[in-house]
This record gives sequence, structure tokens and C-alpha cells, in this order.
Amino acid sequence: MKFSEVNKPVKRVDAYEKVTGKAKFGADLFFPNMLYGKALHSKYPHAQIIKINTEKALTYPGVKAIITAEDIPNNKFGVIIQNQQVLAQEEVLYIGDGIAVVAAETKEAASEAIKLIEVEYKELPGIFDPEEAAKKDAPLIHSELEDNQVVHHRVRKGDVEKAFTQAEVILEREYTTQFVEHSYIEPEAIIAVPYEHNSLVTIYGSIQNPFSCRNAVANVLKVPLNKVRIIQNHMGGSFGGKDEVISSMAARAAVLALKTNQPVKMVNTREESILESYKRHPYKMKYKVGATKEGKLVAMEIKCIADSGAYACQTPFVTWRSVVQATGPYELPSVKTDTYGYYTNNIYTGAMRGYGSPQIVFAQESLMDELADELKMTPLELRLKNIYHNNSITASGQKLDNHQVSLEEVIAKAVKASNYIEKYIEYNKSQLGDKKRGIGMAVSFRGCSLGAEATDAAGAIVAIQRDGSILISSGLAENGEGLKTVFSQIAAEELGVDIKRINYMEVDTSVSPESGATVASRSTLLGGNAVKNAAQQIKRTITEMIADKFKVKSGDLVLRNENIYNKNNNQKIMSFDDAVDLANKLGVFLSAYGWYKAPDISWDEETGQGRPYFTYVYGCQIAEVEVDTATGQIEVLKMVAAHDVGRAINPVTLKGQIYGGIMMALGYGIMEEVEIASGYIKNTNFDEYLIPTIKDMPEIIPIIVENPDPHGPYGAKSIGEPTLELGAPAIANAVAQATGRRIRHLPLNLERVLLGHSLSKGGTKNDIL
Amino acid sequence: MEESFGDLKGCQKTYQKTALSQYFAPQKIEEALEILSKYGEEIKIIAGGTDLLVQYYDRLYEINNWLDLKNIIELKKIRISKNQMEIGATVTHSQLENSEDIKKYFPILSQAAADIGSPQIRNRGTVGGNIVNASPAGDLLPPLMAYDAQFKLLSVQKEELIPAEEFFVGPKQTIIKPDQLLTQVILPLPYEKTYDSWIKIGKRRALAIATITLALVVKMAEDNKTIKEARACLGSVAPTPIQIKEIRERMIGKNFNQLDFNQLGQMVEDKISPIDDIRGTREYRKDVAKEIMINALEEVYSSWWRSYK
Ligand SMILES: Cc1cc2nc3c(=O)[nH]c(=O)nc-3n(C[C@H](O)[C@H](O)[C@H](O)COP(=O)(O)OP(=O)(O)OC[C@H]3O[C@@H](n4cnc5c(N)ncnc54)[C@H](O)[C@@H]3O)c2cc1C
Repeated sequence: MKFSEVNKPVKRVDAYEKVTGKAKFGADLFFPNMLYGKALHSKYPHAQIIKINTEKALTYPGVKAIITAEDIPNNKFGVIIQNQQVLAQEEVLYIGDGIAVVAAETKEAASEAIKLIEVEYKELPGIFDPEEAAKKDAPLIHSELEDNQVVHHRVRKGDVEKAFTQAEVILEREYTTQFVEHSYIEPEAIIAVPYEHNSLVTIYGSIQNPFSCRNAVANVLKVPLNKVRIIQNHMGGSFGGKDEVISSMAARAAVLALKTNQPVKMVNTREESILESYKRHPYKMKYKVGATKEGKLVAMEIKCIADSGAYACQTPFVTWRSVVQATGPYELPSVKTDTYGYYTNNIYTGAMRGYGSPQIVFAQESLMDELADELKMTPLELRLKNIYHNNSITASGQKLDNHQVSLEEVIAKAVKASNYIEKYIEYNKSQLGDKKRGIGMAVSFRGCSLGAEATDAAGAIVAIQRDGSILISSGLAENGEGLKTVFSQIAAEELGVDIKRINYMEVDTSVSPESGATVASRSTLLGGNAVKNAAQQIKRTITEMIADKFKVKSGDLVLRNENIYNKNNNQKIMSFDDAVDLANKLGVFLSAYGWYKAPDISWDEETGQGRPYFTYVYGCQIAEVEVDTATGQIEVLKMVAAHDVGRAINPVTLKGQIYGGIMMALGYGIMEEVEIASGYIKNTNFDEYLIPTIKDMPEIIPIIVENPDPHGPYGAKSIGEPTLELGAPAIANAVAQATGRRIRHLPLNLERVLLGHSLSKGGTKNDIL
Repeated sequence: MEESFGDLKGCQKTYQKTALSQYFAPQKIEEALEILSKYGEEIKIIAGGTDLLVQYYDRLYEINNWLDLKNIIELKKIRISKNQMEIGATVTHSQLENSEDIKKYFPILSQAAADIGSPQIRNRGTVGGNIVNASPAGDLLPPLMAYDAQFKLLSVQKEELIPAEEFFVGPKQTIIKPDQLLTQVILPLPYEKTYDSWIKIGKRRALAIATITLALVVKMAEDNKTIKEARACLGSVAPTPIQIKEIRERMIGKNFNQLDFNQLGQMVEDKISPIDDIRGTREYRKDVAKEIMINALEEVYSSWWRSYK
């Protein structure tokens, strides 16, 4: 297929305003009479609130209002289970729980007033380990519930017990992962403006999912959705992280704005952000695998326990993705998988790029290497013996028959580009000196979009203006990944016009069609199809209008290069501009709502059988590392990443996703960890929570593999999250080859590499700096 | 010379100021000393500000008076005079990193400077700030100690030369008095054959406060066979940067061939008593101290061997 706009490295449509500093982010906005809001957070991870006294704080000069849970019309919200407190009512359940929020004329006054709020607590013992929370007699985190379980998902395929009796080799291993912070560069920012235009309250800010935010705010205020308007600003990163935390901030600001009848702005400091915002779930994973001597997998039994922290948040869906993908892309006749989420008094956990996959991919890909070792096979050979192909049946009983299952292709390409085989042989020989090299691979399959989590549909408006310029408004929100560019390319492609005609609007929930959230690597696929659908409707309107007037068949007309041609003789009939003029004259409507609903899927919660996702992507990453065995330092030398994306709408922004995904994977793979001791967070800024810098980045070789999917726009599927889930296990496998020692816990920090374990750390930065 | 900024932003809210804030940026050392003698504890010296502004983040208003060293050209110089190298207090890490003289005579000081923070921090941060800030993790401190540096402290009354080892007394604590200005770092020029090694272990490859550092400087006697002087100094393993004196005793007078690197490494491990903190645990630090000592010895040995051949 030949394209004019898609499949091309088109420049980002928002590049100019971003590089020139003109782009407005949440914190850049100011409104007349605006107040500054600031939240008082809990002092303890778990405590009863006996009394809150705001009297003194209210007298502080400049303070306009202080709210507590009492002032919140409906204090509980949540996307899946509504049990997150906007402000703590009777108990604080984690260290970042808000207790009161001040609105004052200056930031300083708000900060000072916060200090004057007196809270009487009764400290309560907390549960900080999900396995403790799971015990029968464990105290309840949410007293209205019967136990601390958030959710339990199952997959049951074949007879695992019997299958294990037939296995010639059985391996049982445990893996764990850590709390990870999203580390978006822009901390949370929200402005709530009361009575603007016809809305009760309008919310601006750094909002990943405007519609989730609207739901939460309307729910909290107990008003209809059409009274709450959310307008998204440019985002300084999100990675799944600006959902519930932003909803709660927006709800607090909205209550204050309505109470004071003044706009209220809230911008978190980094410390507040790390303290309050949800993290990636830490998992404890028990894997048992059985295989024949020849290396054919016969059974897998998996149990994963996720720490949900204080609230349910996204745990039910995060652990669901885990249950579907837990075996990895390997043919297995018998599987028994259980994933659980439990409440604890740790910081709550939610969506973060990967969404339940980084944990299990780390476990399953480490396990495959361990098994290969046991079988005296190379990791490559073992994988090739077991991976999915066309028509393979997954653990959920889904036959992969509606798209190209390209695992072997991505593996082959990554192996070739990394010289995997030669290097693997070389690094297996004994190496002199402290510095030892290793090479490791990881592969995955990943369901595209939401799957059986929720209804999956998206919409977009494409509107041609009188002068031929075009507005696009989609319900899915740019998160910094390049969605606006990709959607503009798709509209331009369909309409046969230059992308310069298009102006892409920010999401405005009172205008844009509700489309769910920018999550699950679904936007190009779902939103792209919606934009395509809208553009196609307009195209049909234009061709029918012309066909009518020029007595040609509308089916013979094509829109290309800013003109309309008769495809039979390639003759130009008129320019796009003339067509728009004609429509203006004839009163033909050149705007359309596009809609796309994902293909049907199915899921049986009892057995975990069905068609959980309508299509999948496949990827393989190979890491080459050098480990200093004297100090535990890991240098990642090179990463090769081969991903089948169906179709690269924009190869450059796609590569950006690969680079960024690998950067984040390297981060949680070898250094990042939110250190939590009895519910208290120890590293609340980037001096202590270390993320990789440019100097930690390896050489990265991205390989784009394109097997167009029947469902995607031009065949496009997903890329955002697949890039993130493979790096850490690939590095772990490379480190294991280099050192001869397997580390089953993330991150592979200095101490784990050198000593084999990480010790709980005391002290604070003040002890040393 | 005197610029008054009046009240600094945000100060009136919580902090009652005693007087108007003063900001001084003199051009001469003498003027700076006058100001210091007048204000004493009531003034803060600012060089690059990369430590100070972080420490006072969100409470800058607590600082009433400022003495900014930025206009004192004299303090920005690196020069050789007689048998010593004089490094001005506001010489930046970037200057140290790039100075040909430093690279030639004190290579690991240059390397340590290159390992500090990021280019932005190296362009602003100064050697004087690193010293007076006295973090146990200050990257320049072990090399300075290993090169036998002395710090020149001036006040209106007197001039003092303090050896690096006597300067630091605890984490962020030194013997400098409020009326004293650190003006120069003085290093004896090595006339012997000198071999050195710098190792910094951090949790990432840039912008990392050290988990542990080691500076090893070995000077050879005229024959280039006998060790005449050896100093192993470590950072982030004690409340101050420290020299392991026992290493010196063990190495002086010996040939490389007479040394057991493993034993020397063990000696370092045994002599330090690091703490657990967010940058590393005691167990890790002890383990690694030994390993990096061995590595440093090997590096020193192999550069000696190359020159000896
Ligand atoms: C992001 C970041 C990364 C960093 N990374 C590192 C690192 O990797 N390694 C490292 O060692 N440090 C690091 N630092 C700390 C800091 O940059 C260095 O310690 C630097 O050398 C301090 O110098 P300065 O000129 O900025 O000091 P300032 O902040 O100006 O001053 C520090 C202290 O010294 C006093 N002072 C300064 N000059 C004099 C003088 N001449 N006489 C008397 N008192 C004086 C000041 O009053 C103040 O108390 C980092 C800092 C930041 C913000």
C-alpha cells in the first residue's frame, strides 16, 4: 500500500509550541482572583482521625476556605471500585491521604495555614505486606469489606496436577518486583474555575484522562456530567500516572472553587507528588513450570500477589492483564494461574505503563532462562520450541487466528541485529577480570487495548471549516506520546490533504466524544480508527456531492494531493478547496463524528477462558551488559528492540516510544525503587529516587516490524507499553549470564548484584550530605 | 559595591527579619573579609550556590545577608607558584576538569571534578563550596586529601593554612569560623614519579551522590622502585572524608612486588565504619571498599609498570 501521510516520519504537530516554550501547561495558567490550594497530608500510614481543628488556620491572613471530608458531597470515588477517599474521613489509610485542603490568596499563605491545622490522631497498627493482609485473621483495611482482598482472577486450562506428573523437569521459582514511581517531569497541576460559561465548574490541568476526571468530579459533587467540563492542557508526561491522583485533586479544587466562588489552583511539589500519587504495583510471583527433557513446556502454575495499597484503584484490571499474559507467549497444554490484589496501608498502586505486565514478564522471562539452564539448552532454543505461531492456542484458550503471530520474526530480527548467537557463545566462556559481559533476551505477547476489562470504543470529530482548514477533536487525550500528530496524519491521509490544514484541539469533555481513556496502548488503534471513520464520512459526503454534480460515479473519485481525481483516467476534477467552496454553496455539511467500537471479546471469570483481547502485539528485546563484579555496577551496553506494531503510522514517534520505553525499563530494572518502610516513603524527590540519566542510556537499535492487523487503522496496533515490559528481564538475563548468578528481585541495584540481597536501609539524606 | 535588595521574596510571612537584607558582591578579597568581620554569623557566603540553594530551598528567606564571591577574580584562578599549585576557592569543577595543569599534575582531581553532578552543576559548583560544605560524599575531598592539600583561610586578623585532614570534623562540619574566607587550595607540586587512581561508585553514571569513593596516590622514590609516599583516602564511608593511615605505613618503603593487594584491600575494609543510608548499606560499602582498593592498586601498579618498562 502506498501512503501519502501515514507511515511517514511526519514532524510532530505540537513541536513548535513545545520547543519555543509557548505551550501552556497546567501550572502556567492564571485566572483573575485565583486562589492557591494546598493539601494537608497524613502524619501516619494508618490512624484514626479523632479531631481536626482548622480554626487557627482559618485566621491566617489570606486564607479563604478550608475543607475537610465533611465538606465533600460524596467523598468516595474510583474508576472500578468507589472506595478512594477524596479526603480522609474517619481514618487515614496511607501516608499520602489528604486530611484538609486550604485555599488562600498566596501559595505561602496556603503553606503556612496548613501548618496551623491541628489534627488529633490515634495511630493504628498497619498492614504493609499483602501476604499479611491475606491472612484470615488480618485486621480489615476497609471495615465495610469482609476481607482485604481486592480481587482474584483465575486461568484454568487442562489438568495441571496431572501434567506435572508427566513433566521430566520441574522448576519452582519466586520473583518479586518493587514500587515504582512514574517520574513524570511535570508534577500534578489542576485549576478549578467555578461558573465559567455554562458549566458549574471547569477543570484545567495535567489530566491524563479527561473523561475519568469528569466522572470523578461530577460524582463527588453529585451533579450531572454536563455540568462539569474538563479541558486538558499540555502534559509533561503521565505514563499512566495522572488518573486517580488527578481526579482527587480536581475534586478537591472543585469543592473549594464552589465554596469560595473563586478559581482554585493546585500544583504539587515533587515531594507531594511522590507522597500522594499511586505507584506501580509490587508483585510477589510464584512460578512452577514443567517441561520435557527436550524442552517442550507441559504445564505452568502461577500465583501472583499484588500490593494494592490503601485503595482498589486500578488493581482489578492491572491484575487481570497479568492473569491473561502470565505464562508469556508459550504454548502450554495445562495452565493454572491466580492473580490476587490485597489492600495494605502502603501507598496505593495503579496504572503505570505496562499495567500488570512488567512484573509478570520479568518473572516469566527470567524463568525461561532458568529453565533453559536446567535443560542445558540456550535461552533462544527453548523459546523457539515453545513460542506462539499462527493458530496457537493461548492459556485462555484463544486461538490466534485473526492476525499474523510474528514472534519468530521479531526474535529472528533482534537476534540478527544483536549478534546474539555469537555473543552468547563468547560470553559463556570464562571471562578474565572483574568486568564480565552477558547478553540476554526477553519476548512477550501483549493484548491490545482494554480487552475484557471494559467497553472499548472511541470517537472523534473532524470538522472542515469554510476556508478548507480542518479541526480535529478526539475524545482521547494526548499524553505526550504524539497522538495528535498520528491522528492528524490519519485525517490528512483519508482526506488527501496536507497535514498543515489541520489544527488539533485539546480534549474538551463538553465537546469531544467520550472515548474512555488514553491507556492500554489503545489510542492509535481505537482513536485512529475513529478519526479515520470521521474522515471517511466526510470523504463520502464530498465524493457524493461531486458525483451528483458532475455525473460521475462517487466510487470512481479519489482524494489525493489536495485534489479530487477520477481514478479511471487520473483526471483532476477539482481541488479540495473548490470542493469545500462548493459544499459551502450547496449547504453540504462537512463535519462528522467518527466512532469505532472494538471487535467483540469474551471472558469467563471462573475459568479465565475466552477471547480476552481481539488482537496482540509481539516483541523481542535483547540486552547486552557489562557487570563489574567487584562493585555490582551494571552498564547496559546495547539494547536491540524488535516490535511488531502492525503498521507504523509515524516511524519517528514510534522510535521515540521505543527509546523511552527502554529508558524506563532500565530505570526500574537496575535502579528505581520507592523505598517504603512501614508505610512511610523514604525517597520523596529525585535526589534519592534515582532514574536513569542520558549517561546511563545504552546504544539502542529499534527494529520496526510491520504485519498489518485487520482491525487497526492501516493495520496499526500498539507500541507504548510493549516497549517497556521487556528491557528489565532482558537485562536480568544478561546479568545472570555475566555473573553466573540469578537475581529474582527488581531492581538489580548495586547491592543485589554484589551481595545478592538488598538490605533495608536506615537513615535519611541528612545523615550523610 | 553594596547592593540592597530590600526584603527577599516571601520572607515576611514566617520569619521576622531583624534588619533589612543586604547583598554584597565585592571585587576584592579584603572587602569580603571586612564584610565577614562585620556580619560574622549573620551573613551567608555564596559561591556557586549549588549546595546552599538546595539546603535553603523553600526557606531562602531565612538568609538575611549575602556575600556573593562572584566578582572576586582573584578567587577564580588556577596557578603554579614555586613548588605549589594554587587553586582559587571559586574555581569551578569544569575548570578543574579541563585545566591542563591540573590534568598533568593532579589527574585524579580533574577526574573527580569530571564525575561531579552534571555539566550545569560543574559549571557553577566550586572547589571552595565543595570543601566548606564538607559533605562526607564531596567528590573532591578524597583527592585533595590524597594530594596533601592545604586550605588557606583568611580573616581580617590572620591567615591560616590548614591541612585537609584537620579541616573536616563531622558531616557538614569544619573548623572554619564565620569570619573566615577560604581563598585558596594549595597543593604541593609532585616532583616524584606519582601514580594515582580515582574510583567513584554511585547508583548511576551521572548526577549521583557517591555511595563510596577512593583516591589513591602513590609516589615513588628516585629509583622508581621504592614507594616513598602512599595515601588512600575515602569518601562516604565515615562522617568526614578519611585517610587510611595504616595503608601509608604498610606501603612506604616497599616495592610493589612486596605488596599483597588483597591484604591492603582488606585493611581498608577493616578500617572503615560506614553507616547505612539511602545511598548504600554498611555491608555493601565495606565489601566494595576492599574491591575498589584492590582495583586502584592494580591501576596504579600497571601505570607504574608501563613507565618502569
Ligand atoms: C544536582 C546536584 C548534583 C550534585 N552532584 C554532586 C556530586 O556529584 N559530587 C559532589 O561532590 N557534589 C555534588 N553536588 C554538590 C555541590 O554541587 C558541590 O558540593 C559544589 O562543589 C558546591 O560548590 P558551590 O560553589 O556551589 O557551593 P555553595 O552552595 O555556594 O556553598 C556551599 C557552602 O560553602 C560555603 N562557601 C562557599 N565558598 C566558600 C568560601 N570560599 N569560603 C567560605 N565558605 C564558602 C557556603 O557558605 C555554603 O555554606 C551536587 C549538587 C547538586 C545540586
